[in-house]
Amino acid sequence: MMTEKARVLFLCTHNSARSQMAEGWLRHLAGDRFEAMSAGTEATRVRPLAVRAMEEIGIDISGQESKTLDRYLQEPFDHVITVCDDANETCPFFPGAQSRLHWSFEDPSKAEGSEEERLAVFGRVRDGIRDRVQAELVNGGG
Amino acid sequence: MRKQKVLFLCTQNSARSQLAEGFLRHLAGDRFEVYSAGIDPTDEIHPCAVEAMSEVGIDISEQYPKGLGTYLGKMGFNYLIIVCARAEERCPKSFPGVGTTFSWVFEDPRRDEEIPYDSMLERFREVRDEIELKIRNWLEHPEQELKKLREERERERRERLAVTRWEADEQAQRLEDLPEDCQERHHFPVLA
Repeated sequence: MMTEKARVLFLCTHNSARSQMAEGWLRHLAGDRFEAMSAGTEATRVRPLAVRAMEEIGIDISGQESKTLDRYLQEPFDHVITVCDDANETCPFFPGAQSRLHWSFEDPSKAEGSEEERLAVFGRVRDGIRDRVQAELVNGGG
Repeated sequence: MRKQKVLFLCTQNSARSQLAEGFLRHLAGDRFEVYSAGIDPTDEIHPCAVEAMSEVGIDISEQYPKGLGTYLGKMGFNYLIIVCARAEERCPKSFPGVGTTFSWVFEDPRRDEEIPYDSMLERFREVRDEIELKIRNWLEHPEQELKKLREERERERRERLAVTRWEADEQAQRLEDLPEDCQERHHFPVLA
């Protein structure tokens, strides 16, 4: 058995939706084996629709906060994963990261329409993130 | 507090998933919003299902078979619980809008149709009792079910890894066995 949890940091620009949902999923699916964190190049706030989309399927991320990545720069990570294209381009080098991955997801906060329509977009992105977390981290080789 | 949503899934949504829906609503309807569906729903719920449940004081006569598309992708579920092996085989591995998926496989009470009604009813009673026990256990020890799920995933992951390693070893051996001057030797992918 693994003695220490693998440390994973999810990054996106605002740390408000995709990286927050990814953090929530990893903790939910395999919090016993992974330590999940998230940060952004800028700190904003967790979007209420991200909280709602996760709440719909029973995962509470309302206690998570939006943070900048500075605090994590010097820390060791097994995986640093950017979940938006901007962050992939603008993110600094993490000297302590063993692997750097990029997962591209659409930005749900750009969705337009009624609240319900926008929530549906958050839901779709939420499900896409789950599949990726499941396939590459939870079921992965590491 | 917001109720947790649970969807029970089997192939026809005429027996096991209906019993499970009835039990969970009866035992913990204050905490759960309960649904059931089938991949290939029949027209009607099996009469033995209704009778077996009425014997334990639960009325499911208003429940009816529905297709998977009735709910899935249209709303979010805390839990998707698959209650038959065929549904598990035929289902996609990933569902939209599902937080946690459990597989609780119960034997099909209708495994051969040509038996007298009373014998069929007896089988429904058996599966009814198994389902009740399983649901009661889950309600009392929800963390145990999650632990089992995680252990199962970890076991599957290790099995897959073992297969990958075995294949890599095989390939490495093949490479070893090739003659020194073989073309393929120089084009062989480097193995991790």
